[in-house]
Amino acid sequence: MTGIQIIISDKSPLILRGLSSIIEKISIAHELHTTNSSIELIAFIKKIIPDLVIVNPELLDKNQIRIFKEIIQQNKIKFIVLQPDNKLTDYNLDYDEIISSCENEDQILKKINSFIGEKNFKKALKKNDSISTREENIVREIALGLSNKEIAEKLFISQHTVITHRKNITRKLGIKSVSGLTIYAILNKLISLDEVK
Amino acid sequence: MMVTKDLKMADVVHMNHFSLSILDRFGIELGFGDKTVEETCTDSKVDPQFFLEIINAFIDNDYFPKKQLQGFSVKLITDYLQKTHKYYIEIKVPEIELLIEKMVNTCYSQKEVITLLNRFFKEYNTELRNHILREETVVFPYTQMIENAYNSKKIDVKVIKNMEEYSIDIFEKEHDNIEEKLFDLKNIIIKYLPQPNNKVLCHKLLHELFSLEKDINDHSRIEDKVLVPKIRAMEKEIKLIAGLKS
Repeated sequence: MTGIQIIISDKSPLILRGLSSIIEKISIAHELHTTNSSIELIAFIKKIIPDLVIVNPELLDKNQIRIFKEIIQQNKIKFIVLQPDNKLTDYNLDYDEIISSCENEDQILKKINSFIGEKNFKKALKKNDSISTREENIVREIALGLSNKEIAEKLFISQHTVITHRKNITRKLGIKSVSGLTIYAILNKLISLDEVK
Repeated sequence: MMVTKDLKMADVVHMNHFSLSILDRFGIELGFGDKTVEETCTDSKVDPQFFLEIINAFIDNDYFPKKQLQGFSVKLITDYLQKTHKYYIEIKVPEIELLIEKMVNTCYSQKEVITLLNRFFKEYNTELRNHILREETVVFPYTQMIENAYNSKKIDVKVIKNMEEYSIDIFEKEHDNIEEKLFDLKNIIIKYLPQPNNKVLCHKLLHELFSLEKDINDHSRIEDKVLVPKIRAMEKEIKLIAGLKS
């Protein structure tokens, strides 16, 4: 969960390895995942919700294309088509860019940089503001051992809102577990040590 | 670089010293002179092919020979997994506990906070132990039963009953993310903990946490990508033979 999440998918290990070694040169913190199986690809994008996927659509069957499309649209994931050759096949997919295997390293890097550069900038803006006062209140309640339902009732908000807040808190702080958040709360004096059971 | 059977075992350790923990798990002891991987494995009664797949998957994150690994017997795989459990409980966890305790004892500025870390890790330890206990008392025996039934093609009432009560799908569902708390602990230390006076200990602790996390990730990968699909395929076959709906 550190840095930009990128998934590359193609049948050929040559292409996967080659592209990985090019992408590794970008100077932005990123994590690269590769797969040559369409099932794994779908499971992957569902699970980690990447920032960028680079996929050779030949890998996917009709049904998988439909699911794939849904997921990337829903989550606004950037999508680059990986073309094995120069001819353009119509996959009925909305893509943001094409990379073909005859391009040179600079061209590929430029394309990828232009996407994640933009993404990274947005992320940095978001990340800079540390958690809000509202979120701090919620961390406090979590640390006190309250459930989502109890927090919702106490703060007069819906459970759904509590869950959204929790997601944002986890993303901003990089802490997932309740006991981890408790330590954060104590370190930042949101609660005192005596209040924790 | 991939480890092959003709490579010298000494070179494997030079290549990646983290492989020491894997050697230890297989009961391979140092002092192998110029013996190759295959020779050292045979000396220690270890299946060289299995050793190679495990060590390569461990050294190189991109290398994951799902197909090859699924070809090994359930017993070989679960034996290995059990050995990693033992390594966590008997070596890694006590090491980390000792480090945190040392930190508590040597810090003078913020004892309270370090005590919190101590408590957090104790909680983690309990969680890890429960996780392991569940696997060793429920999951592994179940996988062994499935393999036995599958190999002997003898499917009796007991097997069917066990399969009705439990299945590898249940394991997959309840298989919780045991690395989560480790991830949190690392982040708390890296991002939020005011530097304790004993930095050396603190860095050592982080180093240990990273290495445990890597090991556990490798371990879960074998469970989720090798053991689960293997057992699932066997379950299906057994149901087919028994004439049950899958």
